Amino acid sequence: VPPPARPEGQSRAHDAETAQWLQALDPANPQREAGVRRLHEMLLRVAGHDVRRRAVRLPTIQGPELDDIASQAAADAVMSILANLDTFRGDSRFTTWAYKFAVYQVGVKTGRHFWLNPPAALDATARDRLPDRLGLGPAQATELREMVAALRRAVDNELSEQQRRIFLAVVLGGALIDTVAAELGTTRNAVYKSLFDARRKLRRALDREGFRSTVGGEA
Amino acid sequence: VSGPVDWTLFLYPDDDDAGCNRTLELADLYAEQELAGATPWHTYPDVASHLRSCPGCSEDYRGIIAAITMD
Repeated sequence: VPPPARPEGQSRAHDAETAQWLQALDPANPQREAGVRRLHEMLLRVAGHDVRRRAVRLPTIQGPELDDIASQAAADAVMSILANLDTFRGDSRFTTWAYKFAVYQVGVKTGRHFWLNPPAALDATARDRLPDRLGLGPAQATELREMVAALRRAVDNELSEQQRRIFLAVVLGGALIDTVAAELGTTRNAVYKSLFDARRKLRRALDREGFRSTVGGEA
Repeated sequence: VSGPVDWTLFLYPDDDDAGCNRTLELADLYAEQELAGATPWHTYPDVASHLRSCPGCSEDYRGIIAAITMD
């Protein structure tokens, strides 16, 4: 059973390290600048680690670009944290809460970078890649040939232009969701919602064509 | 570049999906609970569902876990 929600603005007792961070970053603290510097150092370390973790799958980002992304992510994360400090309620340790900002910024910036430097593979003659992108092996793809054909038709006929664009980029092109968000000038959440609605449309189209039992899922 | 998607999961999105904003809001708490051996997926099934199907948020979540365990 989920715990009852805490009333707005009510925080739990902070652990000692969290209390120290909050004191160090308190706008009334005359030593705040030192606290902000320490926060930046910590987030630069986290962002550097995170961008290298992601870079394994993003070969177009290399060398000094990794450091640039980490540096920008850490700086923007510090700004966001300071602007949102009053929303921290102590549900997690302060450091974990702060890491979240840095990691999110790395995701956004690597996505944007990937968009600015798309690899050659991300062209978009993509429909033939549908079985592969849906993880179907050759035998399964043959067995489900009609279903895949129906899915292709549904992509062409059922999705709005925006949904189709997002579907092609994310599902068939393998683009990062943050990359598509950057390209469209919108948020990750908006792209995800569009993709979510597209999935529902495709499912309904397949159901109408009698593929419900073939693809499993709902009874 | 993201890998292939799970097609059965893809075609059957979970209606109880927290979305990116709520998932991001709870990701730090969720990560600490998971690392502490608790079962946040029981407390926040909508977040668990989202993390299974959103490549952006699941990647961020792995980043938060990695950052905590880096300490």
